[in-house]
Amino acid sequence: MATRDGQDFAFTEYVRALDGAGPPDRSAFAAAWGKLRRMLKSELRRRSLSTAPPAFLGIYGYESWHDEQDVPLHELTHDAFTAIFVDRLTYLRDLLRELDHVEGIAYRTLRNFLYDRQKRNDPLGFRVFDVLRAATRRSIERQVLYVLAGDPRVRNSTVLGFAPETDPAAAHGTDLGEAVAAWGGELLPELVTAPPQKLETVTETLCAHLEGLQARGRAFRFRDLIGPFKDDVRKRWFSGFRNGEAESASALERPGAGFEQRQRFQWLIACVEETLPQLAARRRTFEHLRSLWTFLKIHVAASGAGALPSDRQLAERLAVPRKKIPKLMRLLGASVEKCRERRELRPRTLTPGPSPRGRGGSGTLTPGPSPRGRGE
Amino acid sequence: MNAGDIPDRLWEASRQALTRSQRARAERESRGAEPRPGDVLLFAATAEPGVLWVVVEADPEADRYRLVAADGHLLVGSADVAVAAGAACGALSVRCAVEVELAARDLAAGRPAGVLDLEVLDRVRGKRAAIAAGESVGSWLERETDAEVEYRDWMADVGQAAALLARAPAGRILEFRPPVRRGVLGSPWAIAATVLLAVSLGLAGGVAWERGRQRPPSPEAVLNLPFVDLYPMALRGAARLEVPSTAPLVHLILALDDPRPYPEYRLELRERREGTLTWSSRDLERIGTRVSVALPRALFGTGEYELRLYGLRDAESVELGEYALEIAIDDSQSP
Repeated sequence: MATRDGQDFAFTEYVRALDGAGPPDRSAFAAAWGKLRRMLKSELRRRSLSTAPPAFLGIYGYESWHDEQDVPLHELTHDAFTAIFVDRLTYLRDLLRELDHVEGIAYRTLRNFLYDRQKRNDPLGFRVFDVLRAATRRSIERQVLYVLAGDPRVRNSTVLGFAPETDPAAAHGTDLGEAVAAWGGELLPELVTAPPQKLETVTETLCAHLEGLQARGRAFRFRDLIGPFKDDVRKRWFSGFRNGEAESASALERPGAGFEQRQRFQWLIACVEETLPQLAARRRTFEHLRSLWTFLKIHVAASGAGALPSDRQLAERLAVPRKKIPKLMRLLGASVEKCRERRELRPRTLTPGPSPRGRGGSGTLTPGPSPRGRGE
Repeated sequence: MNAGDIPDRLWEASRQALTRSQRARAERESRGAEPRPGDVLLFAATAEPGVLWVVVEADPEADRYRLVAADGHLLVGSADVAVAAGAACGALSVRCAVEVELAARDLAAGRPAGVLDLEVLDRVRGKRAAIAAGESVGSWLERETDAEVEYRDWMADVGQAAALLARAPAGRILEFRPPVRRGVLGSPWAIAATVLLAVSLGLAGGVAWERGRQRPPSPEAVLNLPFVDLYPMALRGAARLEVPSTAPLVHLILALDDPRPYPEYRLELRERREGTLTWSSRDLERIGTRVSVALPRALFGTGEYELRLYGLRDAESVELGEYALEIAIDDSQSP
């Protein structure tokens, strides 16, 4: 392990070792890989994702991170390594000409990577976090809440209180589970399906709920707020669905395990999302398509999700007219098929390419340019 | 495959990435010292947050060069251009709405750090033009990203990097027209555009319109406004600012070290040697992690000044920081 003053500089040592004339240094590579894997494990715990299905981070085909002797974690490490040390290698090498080390920047990129992965693959968990965080920050600006300890930008470890002089230790033992369990009912489905530009009402409602938490304690950790809230929203989202009632075939199928399958799936998602506006001539139809597509992504990522719920249940959950559901599903199905064909028709290249959106998470053997026509 | 093994595929991808990176560096070094559009530069002042700069326009005769920010952050908003991993410079996000103008002598402080492919440079130029024309830019997903807290935070950091870079002797942040959308929870561009020229525009245009109840006059931009980012003296010491004697205003942007917000803030400006109070106001409001004020240039002569910022709540006044500023009035542009 490359250490200086007790700190592990394995990322820096790996990037620095690349300035020699030869190929990458195997031992430096292994040290960086090992550090990244350890950091990922820690980040998964910190984000309460270590007990969530790996599909929430785009690793499909497994029920748990510990399946097959931690293979899902291995695959996630592979994708993160690619995003940081393959896709952004030139960036890191350039920075290292001016900086002593790039440990902090590599760590930040890792956090970006996980954020981006969750955003794409677990739209429900991502959205709940983003909106609750926005509401919390708004409450801080209004001096309803105060940051007592931790990151003032509000992360899981941030300690919040209702008076600036409160001892952060007062957060220990605060149980918000019961309080937040009542919030989700009035916020769904908008909380999950509305575009971010239309979340003002949801955010304000959450601000009011946050103010009401004063009766529950003087301080709390953001983690103790987001955890039970997310669990409750997930439970409500899937409640009332009965398997085997599907009337429409799902436009999106859950991919299997493995790098190729994963890459193909991410490409497909990006391709469909790019074409979504072209499928709908009217704004309202686009919003319905967007909601249904979000639903399908959540459904695919959900552990053990079976057939889709009935059209009636879908219509109720998404606030979309029931009679429109079959047509919307057909439109999405046709788009998925077209994207599949596009991918199959592309010449395969051996160059390390980008992810479908041209960002991070790519790898080798990426077929052709991105669906966005960026020449990527 | 065992979980502990490093996949051959990744090893091969790393080898290929290194080859591309070495080729890119060699190409950049062969381009010579003259800054050209597409050059990517790294400045010591903005290396720590990991912000690079791309030359997008070069006018050697006028000695003016325009640069936009670029970084390795994965989030891409509507005003950005994503550069793919397979490009010569590797994966980058070019922030087309964060733009700084520098002179050649300022650019000399930057290290060459790669070259944008011509195709990417064209996309950057196209997006800048669309932003300037007030067109709707970006995909629906990118516009949604604009509203995310994570993205707005990062763009605030990029805006701060721009302010640092624009401290160069001939540096300035350029005005731009960001794609602000109603209903979005704030706008990253409002933060990134740290110059906040709107402050001075509002002073110039709004009052006359109120008095006369006439049509609001077309606002005129105040160009080349001298500005400075001030940090609490305990953190960064004194800041220095050269102010042309012809400048109408001096724009001060004060970073807050204290995360607790206050309903209002009071700022006092004193001439350091005499200790006399030069100016004071209690009507300031916090914008993000800053408070900002544009003061008449006439308040300042060459000398040292100290500023004290207080947070006000009810009858309470809490001192939040002391800031030191050294002003040098430049008479060389006087008629």
